[in-house]
Amino acid sequence: MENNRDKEYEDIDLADDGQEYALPDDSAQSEEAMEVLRRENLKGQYDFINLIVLAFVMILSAAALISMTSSTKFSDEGNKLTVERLLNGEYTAEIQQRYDTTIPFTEQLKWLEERFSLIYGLGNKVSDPIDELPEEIGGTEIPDMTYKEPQDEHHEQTITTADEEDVIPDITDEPEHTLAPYKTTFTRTTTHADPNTSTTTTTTTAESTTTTNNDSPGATSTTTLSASPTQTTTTTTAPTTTSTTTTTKATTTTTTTKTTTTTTTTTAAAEPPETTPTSDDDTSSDEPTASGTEE
Amino acid sequence: MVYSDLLFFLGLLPCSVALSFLDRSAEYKNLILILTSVIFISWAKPVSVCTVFIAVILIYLLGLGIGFFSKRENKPASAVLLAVSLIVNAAVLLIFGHNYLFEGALQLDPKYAILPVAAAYFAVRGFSYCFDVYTGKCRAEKNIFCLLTYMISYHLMLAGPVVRYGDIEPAIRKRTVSGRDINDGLDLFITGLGKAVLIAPLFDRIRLAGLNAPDVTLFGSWLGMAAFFAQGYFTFTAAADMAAAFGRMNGFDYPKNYTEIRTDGLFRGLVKSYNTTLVGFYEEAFSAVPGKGAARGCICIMLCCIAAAAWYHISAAYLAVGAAVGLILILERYVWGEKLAKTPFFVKGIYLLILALVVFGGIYFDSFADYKLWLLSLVGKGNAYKLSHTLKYLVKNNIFLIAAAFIIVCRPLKELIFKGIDRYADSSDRAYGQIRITKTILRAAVFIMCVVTLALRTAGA
Repeated sequence: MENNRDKEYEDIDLADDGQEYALPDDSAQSEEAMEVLRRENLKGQYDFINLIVLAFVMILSAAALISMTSSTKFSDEGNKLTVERLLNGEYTAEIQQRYDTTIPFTEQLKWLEERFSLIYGLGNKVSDPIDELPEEIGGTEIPDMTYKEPQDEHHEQTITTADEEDVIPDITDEPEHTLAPYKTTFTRTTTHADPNTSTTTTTTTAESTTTTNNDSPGATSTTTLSASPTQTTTTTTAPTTTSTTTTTKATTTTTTTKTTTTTTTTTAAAEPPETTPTSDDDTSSDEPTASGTEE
Repeated sequence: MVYSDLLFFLGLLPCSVALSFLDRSAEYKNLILILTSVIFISWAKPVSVCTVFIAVILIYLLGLGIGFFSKRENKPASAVLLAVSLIVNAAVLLIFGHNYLFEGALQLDPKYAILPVAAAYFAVRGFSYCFDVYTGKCRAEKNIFCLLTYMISYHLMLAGPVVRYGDIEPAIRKRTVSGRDINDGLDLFITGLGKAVLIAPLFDRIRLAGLNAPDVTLFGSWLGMAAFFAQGYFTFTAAADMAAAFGRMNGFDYPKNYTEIRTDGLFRGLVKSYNTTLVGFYEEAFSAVPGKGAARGCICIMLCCIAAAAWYHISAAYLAVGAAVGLILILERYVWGEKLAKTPFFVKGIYLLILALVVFGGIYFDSFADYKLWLLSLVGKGNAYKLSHTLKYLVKNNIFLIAAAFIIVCRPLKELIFKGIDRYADSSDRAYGQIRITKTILRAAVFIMCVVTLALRTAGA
């Protein structure tokens, strides 16, 4: 076979410029074949770059998310590998649970996701906190838009919830004072209570969900939540009247997708204990209500 | 565990692929694949692996029996064994894939049941192997580890494809994996991951805003149902892409389990475009029903459609939709198919759109009353408003993602864009390099977005 090879081919010294050797004639097919090979080679090079880049990104992500979920955070004996725990799934469930609860860099990830959401569509915003408001921009004073706590320190939470140790007074007593209105979405109404009967405290949350058409009025739905177990409840047989005033306008639409209006028939406050004013005739709320659909 | 779990694709998958490279032999690669698959399917309940192994041993023995009797041309005996394999695989499908049917029944109750992942595809693979041995398409496998690799492979668990054993057997016995395979696999995996993490959940939110809102609106009815189909489509095609990617990274070349939606194929083409391999297997299996003529054809089509619907979900809605699909396919085949094929593409498009909405929309609703209300709302009856704010802002805030999803689905638009890109890439080496680098950067960006989104979802943020 080697002799056959010697007969068919000559030894070629490529370094020797003077040596002449026969080359096949150029043809369209050979040109095409060379072009294909060149393209394949080019494709291979970019495939390699693609593979390296994606593998690097994958390994970096794995390193960031998996290797930094430290089990020392749990301050326990660790996830023990036993046959029993392995067969009934506790071992793998523990791995999953530890991983799920120790994802690192959550704040940074949220920051990144907000920026990503900017390219998903129009109108997405990032929630950068503004440290201080400039007093003037372009010569115009910007009104102070920060929310101010009401002066009488009536926070909505103290109105609608009560600490366990507080005693809810008999609401049939005359209130010592009425509460000043404040700018929240919670509202208070009055009830008429019969001193000879027990009274019920309920907390009502009204959800104002508007599906809007510019021609249509807003729609309001009300759901009633049962009283918190920490609150003392009394039931009333007297007709309780509550009114919810929702401000709606037919020609304007609200941009909020969900707003909450709370109507309290009676109130239970932490400190000092609150009593609800009673009225014989007036069945409307004492304070103006701040509706979720207010424009 | 699913394909889009962080622990899976950032932990188990890279380890599995890397370990596969330590040896070139197919036996070693099969061993790594089996071990990875065992971890994958038993992550929630490791003891479920026992159930899987028992099922594989049964299928192995049944396959050997069918092959033994087929060689001796004892068709009745091999038919009996084929029937037994059908019962075994149907039992696996019912007990593990549809165990919502047994709520309240002792050990079959979902909270007690051992649930291997994706029992539905497992059962179809098991039966398809026995069917192929019976019909002579492949020989009975004597090496149980080869059969185990086929049955248990995590590539084929969640979204198929329904690969026939005869097609995959050469690769199980001998295969190679090159850098290009890993590269192509990674590209395909990131495409699938993007669909599963970024696009499908968006359509889920649009569906909820459109169909589950307190006040259903006119646009909500249309967009909500379109989003329901889109969510199902992108979830399935994402899993199919990722399955194909895992196959590539392990040296397998699986058939694609979905095709592009084309008007040419009419309603039959639309049905076959989704879960293509499963529909193809059902067609082949039911074509074995003896008989001739149009009556046999009609019976085969109807049985095939009802069986396929039951495979997805056993409920009145699904079975009714399956029967409706069967009826339309029969009418298309024997009544109006030829005439419709000659109409312009927009006529066919409208025909497909209306049929898909009306027929497949039925699987969304639990009761016929809700379905009827929704049908009426499509034409503006029963709803006071045209568009809700939630839906409007959801669409507006994600309009570019929706446009990208539309381009993926709309074949003429996709071809136009990709042809333009290819033409530019072919113009010079520099242009080719620019396109390739841009694609790499885009893929890396999509991957990072998916990881960030999944990490936040996992952390509950």
